[in-house]
Amino acid sequence: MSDPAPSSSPPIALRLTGLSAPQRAGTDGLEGVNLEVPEGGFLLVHGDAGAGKSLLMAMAGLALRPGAGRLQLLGLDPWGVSRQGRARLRRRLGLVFQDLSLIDDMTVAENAALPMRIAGVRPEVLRRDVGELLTWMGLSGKAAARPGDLNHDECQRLAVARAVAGRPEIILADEPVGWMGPEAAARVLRLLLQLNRQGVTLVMASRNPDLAPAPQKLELVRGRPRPEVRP
Amino acid sequence: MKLQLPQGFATFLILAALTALAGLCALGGATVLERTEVWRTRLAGEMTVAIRPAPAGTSDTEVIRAAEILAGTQGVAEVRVLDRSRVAGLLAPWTAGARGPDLAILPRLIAVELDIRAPAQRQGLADALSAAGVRAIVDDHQGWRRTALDLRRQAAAPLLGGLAACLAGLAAAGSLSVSREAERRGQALRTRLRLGESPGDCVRSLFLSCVPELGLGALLGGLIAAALGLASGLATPGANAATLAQPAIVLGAATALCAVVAGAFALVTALRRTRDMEP
Repeated sequence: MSDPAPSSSPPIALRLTGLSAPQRAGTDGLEGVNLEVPEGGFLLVHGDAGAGKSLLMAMAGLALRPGAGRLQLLGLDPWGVSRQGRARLRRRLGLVFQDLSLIDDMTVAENAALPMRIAGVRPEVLRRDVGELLTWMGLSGKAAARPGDLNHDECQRLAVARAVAGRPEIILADEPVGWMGPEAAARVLRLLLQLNRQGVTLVMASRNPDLAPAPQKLELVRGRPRPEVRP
Repeated sequence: MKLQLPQGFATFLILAALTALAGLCALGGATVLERTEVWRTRLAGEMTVAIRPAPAGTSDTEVIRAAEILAGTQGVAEVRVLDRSRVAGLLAPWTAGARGPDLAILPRLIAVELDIRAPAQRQGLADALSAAGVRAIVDDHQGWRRTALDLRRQAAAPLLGGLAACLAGLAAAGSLSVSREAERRGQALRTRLRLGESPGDCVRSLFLSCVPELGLGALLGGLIAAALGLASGLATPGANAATLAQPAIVLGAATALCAVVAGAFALVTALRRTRDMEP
């Protein structure tokens, strides 16, 4: 996608070199993906359904190991470090999974607070931050509810809330507003872009190439990156 | 109304039953070991001298003389002449309950208690009696002592086998308990791992969620074994605090072993399942 950054450029948050992955159900796999997202950058990965967006996001989010090629996150090779080291690295990521992966036997507040709890944030700070976050997401009235009691729009907002709760260095969001109404989607995108402006690296995957004004875009076509065409 | 049993209740019951069986095996084994050891020690500390019956019957004078010779032999602590009716009782299995005049043809028996510090040897007693012209057979209870050891071996094999089978069952129960919990919480655990929870914390959470049922199951099993042991008289009859101490220690150790085996396999399974769930 771009050449290695010169020394004066900001450090690279996510670097994929010759990344490939075998085919999976409903997708074409990935082949030869090269990209670099600098720290504080914003990349939008787009393409049709089954083009490999979720596969790419799963590998960037350390849910899958690449079949070939190299992945570097925040200057580290995640598959070259210990399991503990990998867990520490995961704590620096904020993930919005395509399937949301909310935990059914936890309340909305507990789900949102999970990354902070895992990171060992003090309970009083955790309560305060989660309260603010749920209010921002329009979920404050549902803090004690279970994910099963929410509609899909609310579940998606909760998934985004959980992704940003741990003050991550990189947010990897797979279709973060796919099921939301326009108002909620605009609100969530505003939050993500605001975090990006504050220095958080943002990688989003969506079928909509115009979802947000991303300075970096990568279109996947049947698992291969389409060369970027600049106007 | 549908009866809803708590999660893990079946595993809890299996654990309790297997721990109770393992406890009874251990208690039974310890009791057999102790009883046969007491018997063997008592047999080793005594000899029995049988005065061969004379055609006209053995006179009391001859028996008393033999007893005096034995009492004067080095390594003998005490000598007891068994009266005719006692001898008839002891030999009843071989004499078909001889009575009346038939008692005269039975040998007279002398129980010889040995000095435990320097016990007399069988040959020494036989030589002393022979030198005095007493026709006697000295039995040092070798045969009975072998029987005691054989009995111990024969009892130990099935008890040890039973204990091993129970421990294998407990290992499986511990493993199943964690597997069931991992299955139930699989999606949540996978999400936690993907969000950066350390594998160690995940193992701990999985293992600790099974500890109550493992611990309480083993405890209940131990209590059942204690109750059954007392009821079936495996513990020493006329039990008091001192005599109950040893069975209690054995049962406590067996229960702890059961809990440790189930817990160890639960922990190993938690480690394996966490590794499988980790992306």
